[in-house]
This record gives sequence, structure tokens and C-alpha cells, in this order.
Amino acid sequence: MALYSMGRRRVIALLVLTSILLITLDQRGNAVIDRTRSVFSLILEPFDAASRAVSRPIINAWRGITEYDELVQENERLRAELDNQRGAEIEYRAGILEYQELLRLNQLLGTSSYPSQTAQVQGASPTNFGYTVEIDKGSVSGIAVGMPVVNGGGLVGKITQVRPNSSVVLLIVDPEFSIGAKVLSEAPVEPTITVPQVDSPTSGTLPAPGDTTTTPPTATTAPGPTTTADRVQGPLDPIDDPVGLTTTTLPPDTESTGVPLFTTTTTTPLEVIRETGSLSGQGAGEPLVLRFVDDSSTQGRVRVGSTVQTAGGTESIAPAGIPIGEIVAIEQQSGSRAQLVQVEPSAGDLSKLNFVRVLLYVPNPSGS
Amino acid sequence: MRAFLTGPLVRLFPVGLCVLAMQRTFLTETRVAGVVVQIVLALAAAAGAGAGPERGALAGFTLGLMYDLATGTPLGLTALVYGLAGFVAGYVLTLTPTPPWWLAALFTAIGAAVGETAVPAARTLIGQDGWFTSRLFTIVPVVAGFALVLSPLLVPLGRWCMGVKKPKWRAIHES
Repeated sequence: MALYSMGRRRVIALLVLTSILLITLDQRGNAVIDRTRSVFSLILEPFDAASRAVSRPIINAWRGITEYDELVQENERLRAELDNQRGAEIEYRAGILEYQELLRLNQLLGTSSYPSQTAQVQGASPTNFGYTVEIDKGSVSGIAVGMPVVNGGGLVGKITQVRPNSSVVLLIVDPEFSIGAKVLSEAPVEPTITVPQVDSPTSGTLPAPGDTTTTPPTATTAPGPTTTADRVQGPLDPIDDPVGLTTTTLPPDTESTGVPLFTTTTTTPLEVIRETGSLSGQGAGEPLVLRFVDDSSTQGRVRVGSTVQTAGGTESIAPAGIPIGEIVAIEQQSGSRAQLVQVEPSAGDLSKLNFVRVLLYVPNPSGS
Repeated sequence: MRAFLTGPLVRLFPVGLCVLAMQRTFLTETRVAGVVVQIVLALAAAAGAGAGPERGALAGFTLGLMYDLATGTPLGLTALVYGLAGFVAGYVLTLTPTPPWWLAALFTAIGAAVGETAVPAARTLIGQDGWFTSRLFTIVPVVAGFALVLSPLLVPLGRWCMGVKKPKWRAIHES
């Protein structure tokens, strides 16, 4: 039996051409194919339900045997984590209330302002080359393609397929996933030198509030034995430092007049750096990768530990402010100025999702 | 009419639905070394090993289409790949018309391995990059191993689906 007979060639050519034709039609978007998918999912539904009903006890028994020790350890770890989180939660709750108050005052929309649908995860992707989950809510519940999906930790993914009673969610770890993101990072702590604007350093007058200029630290910081990091309560220093400013007064190099010559002020700035970029997945167990729109502006500004959120915007699939994760590594790419920023998703282990929330958010490209 | 009712597609469709449901539920949740074993691919390859390259390609194409419709992958992509798996596995019948069970199992595994490797390649061709990773070295052996283990069941099933009977050899006395 020859491997490449005429008949065989015809069969192979026909199948390959049909496949290419179908792929092309599907990639361009075809209503007939979409309809066929919906009908096929309806046909498959009872088979899925039956298979799920039969396999559930077997899966549970198997997991009970193989994952018991792991679950006990995880339970203990989570309890310890919960105890640690309790204290912080009170503080954060107050912050959230203030944030919501501010949003209301400024008539802005927060993520909690959008209606949502809670859905249960039915199953994961059956293929090894795709990270999707199927949820039990569909177009009947108002879900549409492109809506963001979140859980308690943050962004989980987006809706890519909708059927009447189920939907498919593309997870953020999938290489096909991409979303606009912004990095929120506190400005790095740098000492600033405040030079009092006085006519004469020995005149003995007190500089007026606000009558100061800020200069780079290298311009006025004099290294040497006269520089001290210890707080010295000078006669004209503020009595207390209510905003956490640390004031260091250098001893005057002339006779004491009661006015310090230089005042070195180290502050912890409250300014938040926002850098916008595009975030995409790399597969399960791998961190997400963030690529900035403007690499030159991010040099040295984005740091490990910074928070990453959705950027929002009229064409984004998600509203601004949904937590995505935290920066865990920043690598300089060889031969390029671009930085490779790795982000650990805050949504947790996406292979163990149970309940998720679909934000019924539809982008408004017109911007109105 | 009778030929249509007993034809391969009529048998393959319900069998495919059952196997697909198993794939989407049970096998997705019980992973082996983090890999989802592919019973639909194994059936496509087994049909090839039991019924020959053309029928294997046809079975793989049909099962792949069903898989695409059910999972939302681009329609025709898995069909193309599973068709290839069925065709490759069917090569065993060009070596011998009645392969022993172990040879059929081996070719089923080879077909499944080729099919699973072809998935990221096909995805790359349509612009879905990022699937050629070192994880492939885990995925392909696990999927092929699973097909090898299940082939004694799946090869007869594939043969029945494609309406092929195992040839029986009879000695003829020379007069």
C-alpha cells in the first residue's frame, strides 16, 4: 500500500483546503459558524451534564486521597495569613470608604459602580494550548463578549464567547490576552535640600512659609563631617513634624546666630507615578509581562512591588482601577532600552477558580 | 440510505460527543503532571491505526471539527491537526495489513504525539504565538503515553466507527 497514492493525495488536499477555508471564515467572523457553535453547544450540553454527574464522585474521591495533606497545609497557611490580614483590613476599609466618598464627590465611576453578575466556573479549557474557563452565565444574564471578569483578588480575564446559558472566559495568563494597564508607584525617596531665601545668612530673620526653593541634592549637600543624619533640634526648627518630615540642620560654620544656614529636608513624597502599558499573559505559572507605551519615561521610575491596575479608557475592555497584580521583577532586555516587567496576578491561582464576577461593562468608544 | 445510516459519520458523531464530553469534564479536571490528556486526539489516531490513513484523516477531521465547535478554538484548526494525527497513525497499515496490538498502539502514540506537537505549530501559523515553550516536552510525552495506554480500547472503537472490519486470513489449500 503506497503512502501517497492519487486517492490519498486527493483526500489530504481536500481536508487541508477545507480546514484552511474554515479557519479563514472563522477568523474573519462568520454568523453561520457562530450559529453552528451555539447549536453544537446545546447538543453537547446534556452529554457534558451526564459526564459531569458521573465523574464528580470519582474526581472528589481521587482528590480526597491525593490532595488531603496539601489541603491541610494550605488551610494552616491561609489561617495564619488571615490573622495577619485582619489588622490591615480595618485600615484599608477606611481608605476604601474615603475613596468612594471622593468618587461620589467628584462624580466619578469606580469599579463598584458597575452592575455585575456572579457566575460559577463550570470547567477549564480541555486543551493544553489555551487558558480559558467556562462559566454558567450567558447572554440571558446580560453577558456580552469583551466584558471583564474579576474575583476577590482582581482581574481574572475577559469574556470571549457567549452562549445563552454559558460563556467562555479567556484568562489573563493566556498569551492571547492583552489589556491596557497602569502602574501605580510611589515616587522614590530622595532627600531634597531646602535653602531658606534670606538676604543674609546671619541676619537672624525667619524665612516666610513657602518662600523656599528646592534644589537637587548634589548641588548643596556637603559631604564631610559637618553633614549629619541625626535630628538636631535647632532653636528655630519646627517643634513637631506632623507629616513625617525629617529635618536635619547643619551646624552653622560661622558663629551661631539662631538661623540655620542650610536645612536638609528628607520627605516621603505622596506623589503617585502612573505609567501606562500593555499587559499580556505567558501561560500558567508564569508571570504576566508588561510593556510600556513609552519606555524612556519609565527608566528607574517603576519598581518591584508597585501595583498594576487596568488603565481604563474608552476603548479598553475594562474600567480603570481593577487590580491586576504586583510587579515582581524588572529586567533590562539585551540590545534594547525596553524593560521587561513581570507582574504576579493578584487574582491568585487561576486553575482553582470557583466563583467569579462579570462586570457588565461595555466600553464606550465614542467617549460620550 | 442504509449505507448512510451505517456510514462512518453516523457512528462517529455520537461516539465523538461522548468522548468530547469526557474530555471537557473528567479529563480536564484530572490532569497528569499538569497536562490535560487528550482522549479525542487519541481516538482520532486510533481510528487511523485501525482503519488506515484516509479514514484516519477523515475521522480526525470530523472529531477535530467537533472539538473546535465545542471549545471555541478557530474552526478547522484542530480538525486539520487531528486529521494529520489520524493520517500519520494510519501509516501502520502500509507496513502490515493486520498489525499486532502493540504496533497499532505504538502508531497511535506516534500519531497523537504528532498531532499534539502540530497544535502550537498551527496556532503560530494563524498568528497565535507563545505556545512553543519548554512545557511542550512534558505535554507531548504525556499525551502520547495516554494514547498508547488506551489504544487497545480505542483502536477497535475507531475501527467500528469507520466501518472497517479486521481482516481475517484464511488458508487456502492448493489442489
